[in-house]
Amino acid sequence: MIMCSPFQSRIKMKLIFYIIAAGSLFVAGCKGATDPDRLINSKASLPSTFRLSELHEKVITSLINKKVGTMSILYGDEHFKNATQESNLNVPGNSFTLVTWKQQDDAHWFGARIPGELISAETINIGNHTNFVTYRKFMGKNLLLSADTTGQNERIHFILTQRPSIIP
Amino acid sequence: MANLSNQFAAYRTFRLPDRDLLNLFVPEIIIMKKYFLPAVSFIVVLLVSLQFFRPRLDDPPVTQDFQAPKAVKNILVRACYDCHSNETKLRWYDQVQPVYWQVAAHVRDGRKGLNFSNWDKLAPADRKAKLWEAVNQIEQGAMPVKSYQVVHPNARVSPKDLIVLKKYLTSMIHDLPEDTAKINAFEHQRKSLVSVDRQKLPKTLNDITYLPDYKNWQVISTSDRFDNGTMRVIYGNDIAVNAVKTNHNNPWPDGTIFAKAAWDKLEDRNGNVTTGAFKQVEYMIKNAEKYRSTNGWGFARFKTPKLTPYGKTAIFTTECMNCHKPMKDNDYVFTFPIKN
Ligand code: HEC
Ligand code: HEC
Repeated sequence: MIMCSPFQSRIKMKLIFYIIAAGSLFVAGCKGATDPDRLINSKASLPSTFRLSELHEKVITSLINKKVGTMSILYGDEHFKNATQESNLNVPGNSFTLVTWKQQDDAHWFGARIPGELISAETINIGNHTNFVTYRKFMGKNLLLSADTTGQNERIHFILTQRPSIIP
Repeated sequence: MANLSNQFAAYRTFRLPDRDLLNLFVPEIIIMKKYFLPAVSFIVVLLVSLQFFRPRLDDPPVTQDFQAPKAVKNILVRACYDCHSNETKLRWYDQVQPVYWQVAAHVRDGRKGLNFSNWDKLAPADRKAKLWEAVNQIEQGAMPVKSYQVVHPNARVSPKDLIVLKKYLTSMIHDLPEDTAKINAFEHQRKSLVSVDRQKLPKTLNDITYLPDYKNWQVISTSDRFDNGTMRVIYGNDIAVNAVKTNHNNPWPDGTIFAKAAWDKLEDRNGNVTTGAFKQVEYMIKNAEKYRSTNGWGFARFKTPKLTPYGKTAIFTTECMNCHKPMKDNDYVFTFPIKN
């Protein structure tokens, strides 16, 4: 009799709702982990043939080009420790790699952009004694060596005039 | 009167055979009935007496209420204020025990992490950061709390509401090319750099020592944070990199360490952005056993080139955990790692 008054049935409904909600949260909590593959940024990954990791280069700085929506990391085999050196990277024997990606929105954080499609990797080797600079550009998802040499000098200048980040 | 008792008699004649039939063919029910009533009465008595044990929940004063355009404010008041302000408006059904326990705990913990009624207690930059965090918690489905939302359907933040909130946030971004304050901060840091004393490396209150070696680790990603004008590089140690290579990145194996370094963004007139002043380096160290109380990760943050350990008390990690919590299905990690 009491249990049938509309007022009480609302209590019951709310309580039942709460219990169901708590129960389904338990289930949701056990929903399980995301598939590891889906968490890898494969679009931005470098082909294993490029073997960047085997060069053991260190981060020198990172860059964003807002106009074209790209982001890059400049690696080098010398660690420019306190960035106190004058920004001259042009030292005999140094080598560098600049990896550039198209930016994409971070699906995990509204407020961040992260690497999207891999655009290019540019390498620079400065001769040990000769100061002769070798520049190469690898393009696209598979980082294929590009035969196009236009604008090389600008790129060399751009890369070698970067200032190292402060990385304490 | 006679009419009524007739009806009653009719009811009895209708019901009795029914019951007898049950009693005859299903004797177990008798046993069940024997225990059912005491059990139910026990639960009822328990529930009733529980109503007298109530956690304290009062409404401290509103020192300064959060201000925003009406459309934005309305959404947050409707969906969040019950737990994230001192203007909690509990409905009667929230106050029935044992539900009330959970509600009170939600309000207490909710206010601790984010309180729209004490907006003056936050520095301007922290206010902005909290709002971005709030909108991200909504987008990832972590807020408002699910069980609360089921009982308070009008607290739901619709996709339309979310767009209103996001537009409000992006309207507050004012990127400034050639920002002199940032340039000066960078130049000042460069000039005053001292090498770190390796003998006494700084340590956080949860006992994590700064790890200088992160600079030699591999990069697993980078991030352009337009919400707070910084850019970041995320490094992983060998165990992390190996886990990425072999797709064993969820959960991450014990021994995994991430380091995330952050800098101001310095923008020139052509939209070229480079790293300015160093803000901080943060670590997440995986050890499911040792760091069980913090979701399996040891959290640490060292600020500025002086590497000042962050956190006034050891529970600063609550702040890290709360913001990383929506990533719980990804072992609390935001970054989508890149294979090198
Ligand atoms: C039923 C209570 C409840 C409601 C409603 C609620 N929250 Fe929460 N919120 C909590 C609790 C409890 C926490 C503490 C962490 C946890 O348990 O997840 C929290 C944590 C948070 C945090 C992290 C704070 C920190 O420590 O840094 C944010 C941000 C947040 N909530 C945003 C929101 C927003 C935005 C809404 C509205 C759309 C909302 N919450 C609605 C209970 C609530
Ligand atoms: C306001 C939200 C927020 C808070 C608070 C927060 N983080 Fe994070 N954290 C992020 C986001 C977003 C990322 C993804 C990378 C990026 O864009 O910065 C991240 C990434 C990280 C990473 C790289 C691994 C990963 O999960 O992607 C580390 C390490 C890290 N945070 C450490 C910490 C520590 C230590 C604290 C506390 C002292 C902390 N975080 C507090 C939002 C937060």
